[in-house]
Amino acid sequence: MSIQSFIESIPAIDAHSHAAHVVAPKAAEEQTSAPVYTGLPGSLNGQRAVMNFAEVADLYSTLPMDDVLAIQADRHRLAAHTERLSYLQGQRRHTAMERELRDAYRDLYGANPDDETDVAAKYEQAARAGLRQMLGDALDKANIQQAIVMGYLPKGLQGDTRYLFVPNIDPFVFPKDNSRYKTEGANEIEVFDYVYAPIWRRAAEKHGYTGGDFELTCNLSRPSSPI
Amino acid sequence: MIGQGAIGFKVTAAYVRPLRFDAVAREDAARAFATPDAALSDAGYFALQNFLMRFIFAECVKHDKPVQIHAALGGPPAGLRLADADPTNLESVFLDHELKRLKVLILHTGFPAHERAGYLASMYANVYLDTSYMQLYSPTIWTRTIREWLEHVPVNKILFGTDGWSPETYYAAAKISHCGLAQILDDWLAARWLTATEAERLATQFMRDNVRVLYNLP
Repeated sequence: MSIQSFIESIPAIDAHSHAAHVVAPKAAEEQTSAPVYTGLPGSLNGQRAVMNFAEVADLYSTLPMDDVLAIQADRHRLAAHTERLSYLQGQRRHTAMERELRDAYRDLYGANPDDETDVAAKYEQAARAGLRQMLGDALDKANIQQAIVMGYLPKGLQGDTRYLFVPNIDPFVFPKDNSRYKTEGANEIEVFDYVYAPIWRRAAEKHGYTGGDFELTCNLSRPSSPI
Repeated sequence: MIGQGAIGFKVTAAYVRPLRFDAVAREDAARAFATPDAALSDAGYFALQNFLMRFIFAECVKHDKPVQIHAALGGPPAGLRLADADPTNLESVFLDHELKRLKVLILHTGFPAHERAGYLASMYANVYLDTSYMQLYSPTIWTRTIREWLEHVPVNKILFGTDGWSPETYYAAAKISHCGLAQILDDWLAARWLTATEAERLATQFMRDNVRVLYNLP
């Protein structure tokens, strides 16, 4: 056995990852009459939901489908996606990441990465199986036995011992007004303010605190940033 | 959160502030906390954050939970500045006697400060290195970094990770890691730097056992 074969045979534990959320656009369309943001064409199709933002994963997991679709259709967000697509398919077209993702669409879904329509169809087919199945299949093929997931564990993965959770502690370290940290792109602290707002509210209620410091708000339609 | 199954914690503060978490007196932190938001200076808020972060770090020590710290590249539009994210900013934490058992995992190889990250892991018993994302960013840099680290960092300090955020990225990152590690070990086997048994042991530690030990997994 070659050393590479041996390495591939080791059931791995992934020390750091973000989990995922998957969206089957056609399946979503069947559930609502609202317009569906159909994502990015080509080999990066599966990244359409900006999945590495816990904020987005949280929204997808907890909101009614109509609200999810409204967010997907948000013009600011769409503009950010378009910008991202242009960036990746322009000067960085031949990066290792894109090359490997093209292979992943072929290996995971049986898609022809040069055929945008085929990629979209095969991705749709796989995504209809649901997050747990789709991600589980990918981890099986990568021989990742367990994944340590940070920040947010989507509802579809909760209770599955394959996914171990590592929450962010930053929200407890930034208890004051964080507008001083706002930047041109949505940063992690803004995400925390949204994701952890319910925690702070519960703490405020528990301790009878009525001051303004706990009045965190989440504006779902605020401008977002590229990935 | 530990009672709800958290096996560790993550810090992403580098996106908005330096990773220098120097010690702060409790009364200074209390004063900052009591100050109305509009009147709180940046320095006052910074001190409060340092106190809270160290308080949580101490809790992590008490419960033997590792802390993942983003100390590497990140999006400038999202606020990250390289000097703030440099892992050497964490030395005041590493040198603190009360926190010497805090297990710190430097994420994403610490790139572009990956050499300094490797040095920290070789010098401080409680510092570990995560290899996620960099294999997607550049397989060449990833493989070179792992090769260099394996020459001077204890093997048990280097952990496999993907930074996966979609099924495809988990898969791609694992595949690149398999190839990169195989390249290194093939070279070392050819040079007779290690035996086949040693190579397999090293690979098993990297891909699985080091993570298991760090997080106290069964």
